Amino acid sequence: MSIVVGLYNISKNFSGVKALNDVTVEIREGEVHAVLGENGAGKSTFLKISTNVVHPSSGFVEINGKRVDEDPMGALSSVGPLIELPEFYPYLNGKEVLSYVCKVKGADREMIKSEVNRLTDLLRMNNFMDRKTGQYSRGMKQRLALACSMAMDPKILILDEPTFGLDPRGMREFVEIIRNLNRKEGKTILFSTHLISEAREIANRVVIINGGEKKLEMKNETDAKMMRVTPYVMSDFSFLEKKGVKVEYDGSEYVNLTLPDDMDNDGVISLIQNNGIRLKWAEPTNLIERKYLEMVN
Amino acid sequence: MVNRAVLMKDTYLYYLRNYYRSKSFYLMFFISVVVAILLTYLSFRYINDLSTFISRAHLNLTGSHVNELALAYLWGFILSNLPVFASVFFGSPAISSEIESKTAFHIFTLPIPRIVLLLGKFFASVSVTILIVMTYSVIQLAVFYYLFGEVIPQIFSSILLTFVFVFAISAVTFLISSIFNKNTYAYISVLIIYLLVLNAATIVIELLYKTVPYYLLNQAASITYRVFINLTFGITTVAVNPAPAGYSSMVSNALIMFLYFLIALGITVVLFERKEVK
Repeated sequence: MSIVVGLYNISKNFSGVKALNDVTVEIREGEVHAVLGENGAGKSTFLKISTNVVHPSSGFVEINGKRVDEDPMGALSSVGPLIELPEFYPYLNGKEVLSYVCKVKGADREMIKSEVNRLTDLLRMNNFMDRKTGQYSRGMKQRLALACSMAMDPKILILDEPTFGLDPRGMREFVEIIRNLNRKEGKTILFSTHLISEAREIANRVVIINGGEKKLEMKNETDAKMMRVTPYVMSDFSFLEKKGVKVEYDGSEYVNLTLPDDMDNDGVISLIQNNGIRLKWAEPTNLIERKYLEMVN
Repeated sequence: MVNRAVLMKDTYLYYLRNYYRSKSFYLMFFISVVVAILLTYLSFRYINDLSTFISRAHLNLTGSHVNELALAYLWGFILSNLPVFASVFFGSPAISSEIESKTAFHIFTLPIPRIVLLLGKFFASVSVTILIVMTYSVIQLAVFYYLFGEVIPQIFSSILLTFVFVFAISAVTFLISSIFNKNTYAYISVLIIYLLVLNAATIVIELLYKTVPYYLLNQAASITYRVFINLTFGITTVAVNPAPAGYSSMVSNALIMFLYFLIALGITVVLFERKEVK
């Protein structure tokens, strides 16, 4: 798969403070790439530089082979961006905003009409598209912003904390939309989040940024030899150690298990159940979570 | 790739809609109508006493259109201030608000050159200011036609020069707005610069060099009413020329305002290209 977005040796200083330091990331076609980090880690700056909202102090960004600093129009024409929660001009209604975005992306009158209708239905915005955006709630603005980023079917979506500030239902819907855009329509998606669960659920690859530096880039995968189990009642798992399983209690309801080479997930679960312990939950340990927590701690 | 001229037209209309539906526009429109109504009252009330005022002010004006010129001077003086306040409303927050209210995240990420965004917004702002100037001017023309049965040509010159001033003052306010990321700073700076700094500079230059600084924007803008009576207020003198400012004065002052427009807009384009939102 070809590289569609590349950020090379990006550094950014804001009034002497280093927000990003020599970060290089390449995103391949069809990937969902999460930028994970705590608040203030530099995730937003990273995405703002990708979309020309912030200019890098050094380094450059290439989208579909076009450098953003040299040819912003060419580079951004295939990108659907959603940076933070954008505001819209308050005296324009949602249709006017979306129509303008379609026009800028090269649509003619007929295409604008069909695209506005398609996105209005897709994101269920029928009941507020004729209202002025100055009267929108946060969720409505978020939907309109996503509609703008999806207008004219861009190949790449760059989304900065797309679920930030949404209620649980809104978050769930948003995650579903993003996942479908990748799986059904093959979009390349670069998004930032501070939620490990979101990165784990949507992304193929994850970049962890901390203190303005790229700490780690990895595939989103589970470790077949590590498990996390949650018993209904906290019990003694020392019987597993006799079978070569490393047992770690993390002080909460979880128990982390590292399996020996000759044992698989089903085998350890059978062992636990045979010893009369009922499990509420058991899952292979996700590496993102483990690495992220190791790094942050 | 979308044609730049089409992009410019669409961007202009996009911003124009947002401007003419705004509360700022209706407030400014209301103010200009109220001011025009007050001047209409003054014109009807004192039309027969104007010659007394003129002689009392030792203006020593003669000619067949003295009353019209004196009255037009008053209307022109107020007209020259309308673009200043309109540009405070429309121009001061033009760029700073993109940052403060985060609309920049919406527009900076679109595949559209920033110069097109800036010029589209600038011409939309100029258009609504001209609409306000036109409203006032139409009332003035109606009043003069009613009172004198004719409209002296200087009124049209004054209106045209006011249009040039609208471009200049709007460009200067856009420039100031592009320096700040907060609307309040932009509003206050525009008012301080136009009402305080330029007047202070005029006084200092006059005192030190005994000359009127014709190259300052406020002085160049005074041509909009000096086309009626060439009255120049200095700190040490009041120079009265019974003859209205002539064609060469109009051209030179229009050129000065045009230069302000070009230079201010040029710098704004550069600053806007470099603008970023943290």
